[in-house]
Amino acid sequence: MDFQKENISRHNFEQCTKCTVCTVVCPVTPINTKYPGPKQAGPDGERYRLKNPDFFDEAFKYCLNCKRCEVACPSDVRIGDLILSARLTYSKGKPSLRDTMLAETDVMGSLATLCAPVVNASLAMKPVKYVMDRTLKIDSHRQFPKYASTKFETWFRRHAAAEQSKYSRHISYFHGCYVNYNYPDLGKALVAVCNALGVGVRLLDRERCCGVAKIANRLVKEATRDAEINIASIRKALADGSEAVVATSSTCCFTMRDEYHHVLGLDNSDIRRSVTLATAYISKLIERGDVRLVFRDDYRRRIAYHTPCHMERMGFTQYSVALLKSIPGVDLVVLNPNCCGIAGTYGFKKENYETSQAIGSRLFTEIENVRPDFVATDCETCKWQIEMSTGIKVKNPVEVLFEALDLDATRKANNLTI
Amino acid sequence: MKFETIIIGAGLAGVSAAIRLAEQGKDVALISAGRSAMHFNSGSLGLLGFDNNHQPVSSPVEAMESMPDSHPYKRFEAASLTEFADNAADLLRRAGVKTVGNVRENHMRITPLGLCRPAWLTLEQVVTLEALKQLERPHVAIVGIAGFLDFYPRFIAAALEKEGFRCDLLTVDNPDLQRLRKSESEMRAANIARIMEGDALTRFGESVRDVSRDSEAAALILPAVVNFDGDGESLHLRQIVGRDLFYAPTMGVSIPGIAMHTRLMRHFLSLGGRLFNGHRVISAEFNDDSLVAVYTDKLDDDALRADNFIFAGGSFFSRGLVATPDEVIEPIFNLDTLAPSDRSKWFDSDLFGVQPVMNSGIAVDHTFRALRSGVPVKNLYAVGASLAGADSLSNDSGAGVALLTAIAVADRIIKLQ
Ligand SMILES: Cc1cc2nc3c(=O)[nH]c(=O)nc-3n(C[C@H](O)[C@H](O)[C@H](O)COP(=O)(O)OP(=O)(O)OC[C@H]3O[C@@H](n4cnc5c(N)ncnc54)[C@H](O)[C@@H]3O)c2cc1C
Ligand code: SF4
Ligand code: SF4
Repeated sequence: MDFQKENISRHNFEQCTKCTVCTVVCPVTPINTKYPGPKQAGPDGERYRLKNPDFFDEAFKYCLNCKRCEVACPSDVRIGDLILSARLTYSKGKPSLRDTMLAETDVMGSLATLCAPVVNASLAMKPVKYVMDRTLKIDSHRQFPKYASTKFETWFRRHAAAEQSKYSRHISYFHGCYVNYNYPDLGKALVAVCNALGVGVRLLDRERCCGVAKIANRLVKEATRDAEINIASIRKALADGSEAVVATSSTCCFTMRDEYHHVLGLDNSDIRRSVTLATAYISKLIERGDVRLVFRDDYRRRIAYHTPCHMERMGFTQYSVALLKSIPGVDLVVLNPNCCGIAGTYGFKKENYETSQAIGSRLFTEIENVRPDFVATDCETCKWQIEMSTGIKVKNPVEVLFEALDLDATRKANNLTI
Repeated sequence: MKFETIIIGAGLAGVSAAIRLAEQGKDVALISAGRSAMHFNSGSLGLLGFDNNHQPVSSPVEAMESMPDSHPYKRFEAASLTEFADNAADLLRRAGVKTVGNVRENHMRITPLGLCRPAWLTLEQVVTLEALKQLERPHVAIVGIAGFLDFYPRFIAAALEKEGFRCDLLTVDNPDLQRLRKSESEMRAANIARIMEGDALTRFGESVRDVSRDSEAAALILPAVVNFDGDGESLHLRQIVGRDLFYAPTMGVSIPGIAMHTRLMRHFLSLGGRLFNGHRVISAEFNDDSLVAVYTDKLDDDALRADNFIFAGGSFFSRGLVATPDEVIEPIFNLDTLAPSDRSKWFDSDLFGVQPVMNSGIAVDHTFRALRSGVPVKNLYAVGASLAGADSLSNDSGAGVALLTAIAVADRIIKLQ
């Protein structure tokens, strides 16, 4: 028997050499001393937990699941996965009403979209925020993302779906809750850019929330149900001829590629490679010489790119950076990789607000020093956090492409007569 | 994706080669799986601290000539070694890593365990015996931090007392440190350094000033737990404390080492370098004797292509080399390695003796091109700790081998292009 191979258990925890490098990068430890830190919560604690679950510590909830520890670990230990899996396995007590509400992004979204103006106004109102702060423990400093009055899916079916069959190649777009309920403009930009490159866009037959918020809030059953629906829809889309399933959110993409298997234990091996990020997909089209991009002559912007934690972990940063750099007239500053502190629903919780802002402070100061026209990033929660904390506008790289491209000239360059 | 040069491994060797190329306007990608051995660097760099008879070296340039032919230094012309070493110090300086020391004469660093050992370059602000000898009187105060287990003032004092210094032993504590100590296992240099900003730094300075008020020491020695990110922090502290300050390395992950890493990486990125952070190269595509592309664990089937490749994956700690039960292998390209053939000859039974397996590594030709089945790969070079013939542990030569081989290879690539 090959002991070196046979003895690898979940998340590579025996590979830990106790070097403590992970503790150097964890954004939480220096700020929140209740948190035991990645090494102790991860591989060190796992050894004990396997013998006796009492070694589980509820303080693991302070982990942001940012995976910065995993990126830093020289020995490929999946520290964040270890901690998250421990929370899912051992944490006692049911998730609270607040956690459930924050996690049910699609249910909340559907309700909110129906009455967007009222919801937006009330979420912004001081008394409402006060009540949320006191009763639900959602921090009153938070600005809730605005809900759009028409869902992206509705817009797509009404205004875009019909033309898509004219294109000879297709992708399926995983828009995610954020584009659907809060930011349809990003979805519209993706459709316009893909179309100009000669790629038709489809939606999945059934798209559910990627599940990141449910996983973080320990709603495993619900997350698994959504993940299974998504995996089945993705399989079908690929079988129906879509080249790839493309997301504009780095976190949705990361969750479907990695967390479905590593954390939920689902088999996504047949679809994993086909699930990708819009900037990665477009970069590959350009590299293969399949498409040409024609940019406007008058586009001049100073842009600061922020690498979201899950983007860093996924390893796709260079796709977005390269695309932005390739735009003539863009002066791109790649910010140092620091966590913005929001980590999805984490920063919305009252007990985390201060930690969340303290973690982000380095990033905010750097952004303020760079003085960009706007910040570009691939994650929607980073966008909320940076906009709220710096007052500087944040855009997705796909929106930047949309603004910078001469769409008509691009269509011509790609010989489109449609 | 296609680049002019791809470098695998972002330790001292990889990032130095990357900087050298990027400074010449070359299009470089740096691929790095996890943090490097630099995180444990004490703030002192060794070129050659001990010769093969384990005698301390005073002049590294002279002693390098006495190294066996298998040593990477022997691939340099003796006359050029000084120039390469000076180039290395200049490269560090351009990246903002300011050091004292030179290739002609080693100085003495002080280890966390209280030994004086020869070193080539030491970060400014990090304590050296020579700097202390410049003080107006041989009297220092060594300030420990309550509950911090990676620094023992007594060890440092033991080293300095042998050299004729009077040492006061002090301990500092304050509410910021107490708060951090709530999580005992996280009371590490890196976490202390991360709270030492703004007001907390000022309060720390005031606490140090207060505990050292009665000491007549000419200078204070603090553990290296203050952020080295910018020069601002330590200047600020010196002002508050009101006397000369030096930092001594701590055990475990080391702040001076992290500072080096941070500055080198920032310099590389500011030159427009492309970083694939957290990617492990897992396979490669060859065409005859040339490397065409590498693949990483993150990018599926997306090939990373280049004209030239540099392998800087480090030694066993960084998994650039892997020891199986019976051989030492390079796991990605399957490059030729040199290692004692019989496992029983890998080790010396004296744990603190010279371990022959530490000399093993990748076999290269005279221009550092890696060998594969006995033939040099035309465009794949190996540098740094993964090279055969360099036991950086027993020779205290790790940084020198990393920097000199990296610069030599980068310069060769620039010349050939
Ligand atoms: C614990 C420790 C402490 C040391 N302290 C000192 C000191 O104080 N002073 C001194 O002069 N020397 C010291 N050394 C010696 C040290 O080895 C050298 O100084 C030097 O840092 C080696 O640099 P390197 O770049 O060759 O290798 P490393 O620093 O080991 O870097 C190799 C890098 O390559 C990456 N890598 C490996 N395989 C792959 C792959 N397949 N794909 C992508 N990336 C990969 C690794 O993750 C790592 O980041 C120390 C060494 C160790 C292990
Ligand atoms: S970085 Fe990795 S190997 Fe090092 S202590 Fe953390 S988990 Fe262990
Ligand atoms: S995932 Fe992030 S917050 Fe959690 S332990 Fe790792 S570095 Fe810390």
